[in-house]
Amino acid sequence: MPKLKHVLSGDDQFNFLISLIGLIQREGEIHIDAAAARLGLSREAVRKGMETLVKSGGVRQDGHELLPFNFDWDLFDQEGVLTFLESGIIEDAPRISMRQASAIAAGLSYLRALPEFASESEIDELIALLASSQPISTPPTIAYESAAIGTDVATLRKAILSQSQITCNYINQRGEASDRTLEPLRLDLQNSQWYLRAWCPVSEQVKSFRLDRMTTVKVLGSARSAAATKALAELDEEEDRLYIPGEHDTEVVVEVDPEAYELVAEYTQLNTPTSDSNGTIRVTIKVGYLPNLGHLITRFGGAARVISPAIARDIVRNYALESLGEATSSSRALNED
Amino acid sequence: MEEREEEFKLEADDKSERLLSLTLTLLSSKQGFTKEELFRSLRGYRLSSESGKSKDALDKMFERDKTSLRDMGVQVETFIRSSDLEDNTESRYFIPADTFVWPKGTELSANQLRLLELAAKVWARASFSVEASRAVMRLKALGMPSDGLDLEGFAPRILTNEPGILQLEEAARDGIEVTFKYRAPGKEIETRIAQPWQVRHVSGQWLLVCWDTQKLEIRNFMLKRIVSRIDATGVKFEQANLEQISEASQSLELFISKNEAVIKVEPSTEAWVHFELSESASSAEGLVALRYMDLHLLADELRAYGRTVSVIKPPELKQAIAKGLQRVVSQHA
Repeated sequence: MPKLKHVLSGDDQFNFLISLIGLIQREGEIHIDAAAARLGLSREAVRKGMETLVKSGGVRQDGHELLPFNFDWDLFDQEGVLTFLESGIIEDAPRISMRQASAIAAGLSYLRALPEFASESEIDELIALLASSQPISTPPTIAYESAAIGTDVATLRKAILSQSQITCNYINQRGEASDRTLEPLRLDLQNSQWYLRAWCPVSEQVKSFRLDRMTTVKVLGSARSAAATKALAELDEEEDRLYIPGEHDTEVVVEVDPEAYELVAEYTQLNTPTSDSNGTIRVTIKVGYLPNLGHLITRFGGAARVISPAIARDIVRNYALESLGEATSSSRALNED
Repeated sequence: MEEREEEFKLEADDKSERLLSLTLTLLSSKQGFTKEELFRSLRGYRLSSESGKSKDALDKMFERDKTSLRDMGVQVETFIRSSDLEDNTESRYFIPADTFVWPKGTELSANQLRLLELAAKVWARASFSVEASRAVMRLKALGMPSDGLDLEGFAPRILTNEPGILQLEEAARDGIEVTFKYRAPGKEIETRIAQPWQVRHVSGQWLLVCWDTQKLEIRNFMLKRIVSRIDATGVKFEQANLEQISEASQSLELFISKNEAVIKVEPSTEAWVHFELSESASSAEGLVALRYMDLHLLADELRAYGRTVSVIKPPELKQAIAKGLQRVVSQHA
């Protein structure tokens, strides 16, 4: 969940107000600090919410004024406790919307890819509860079919929790296999792809490792180093970018069709395609090791194109030619390591 | 804490108060209210009107407010009073009070609430993150939270790189037929008309499960192959029911189970590790049998392994890989 937004939009504020009503009605009495903590907002936000509640209303059918919420202000002033003296119209927690329920249910299905949730029966119960959240039974409008559980996920998780180092065999982006010692910090699952974020003692930095390039994972007896512990503290929870641009990166201009948007998602805001372009956009991306462009671009089979620099275009063409089993057509260098 | 308090502000025209007043008023009477009555009696509308807003602008404001309420799960319904039928056909608005709140006794355990919070967190910055966090705030009224929220060592994230996903979900929810341009692999762009049922993530792809009104069959469109805006056709349809959705998902599963490809992988390569050959019985030969949802997606996946993977069958897969490679060569000539 995003951390508190400092300025709530009108819609978010309304969502907060009916959450607050539900919370007070369910609890009967609740201290303002407890309410703030439960809803993840400040005490001041709850205080202002109370003010909005008491002035919200309208007219009844008979023309009389309708102001349904009336707090016990004495109790609030003396003890900071929220309780309604009157609240005739909303007496329990309001239901959530179908979109809200679907989003949460899809998130729950997604969690199934984590070994500890794979067999959690509570997930099924919650999905059923969310499905029944609508007054008229309707199928969810968002669904996520659980991804497969990676083979080494459980082992790596154990290493992370016990703060141990590991060894593994890893094939890097250049296709070279080697045995490595790593200090695992976090397992990232992005759609169905697993990555390990680990401190690499050789390069002395945090790197991302794809689990589908990793074999023979073994947990070592040695404990996490001070440097890795420091790196973990700095690993921003909200920072999901897997590729951390380096100072020696090359800027490459690529042109992508919607079929290849995933290639540039970390570099640009993706908007709905305009009618004249069929969604084709140009984006500058950063590439640490240019020969990687060969497989990165070629896999899309035409939906992604390198515009510049020329060397990058050559790399892609040669990669495609080699894959076709044809001789490469350029003398420009491909032999850098 | 101090920082939060300082920066916390209400919107200037306090839409939230207007929405809450509208909710309370519409809940208060089974007789319902006409729009005119609401404009006269609710402070938010009255102030807007007094400050010079036109009738047209007020109408638009009311429509937006109804949409906001629906996004929060507040269903505004309309009816025309039977005694009015002769001379007055104005809609009356109301919120059915019996369905507004959770059924009595709906409660969440601490562990359930923790799971729900984790489920919201996986949306991170993806398309439905706002809805997911709003839902969590609402659900907190239904139970006490537990302490151990953190998923230590895991950061699971759903990604959505398809800009149309929100609109398609909305169309599914509201039963709005849509049209868009779609590029099936190797074909010209075509305009499609769809009645969306669900957006569904399967095998690494976001799909639109829908009724295709041209072909008169259930279709799964891949969101990333939509190359235009998504527009409403103006046609409304009845939302899909559970049977239809599960039939669509079963037929997709059946379809996948029938699609088999066999590839041969070169030993000691990235592909060898990726396809987990060292642990498989047929690893001596380097042969792998794969089920696939979409031949062209599989071709994309295999192209990333270059010459280290070759296709045994089907021949269409081999062709799809080669055609893509030729396109890349000519584009980078």
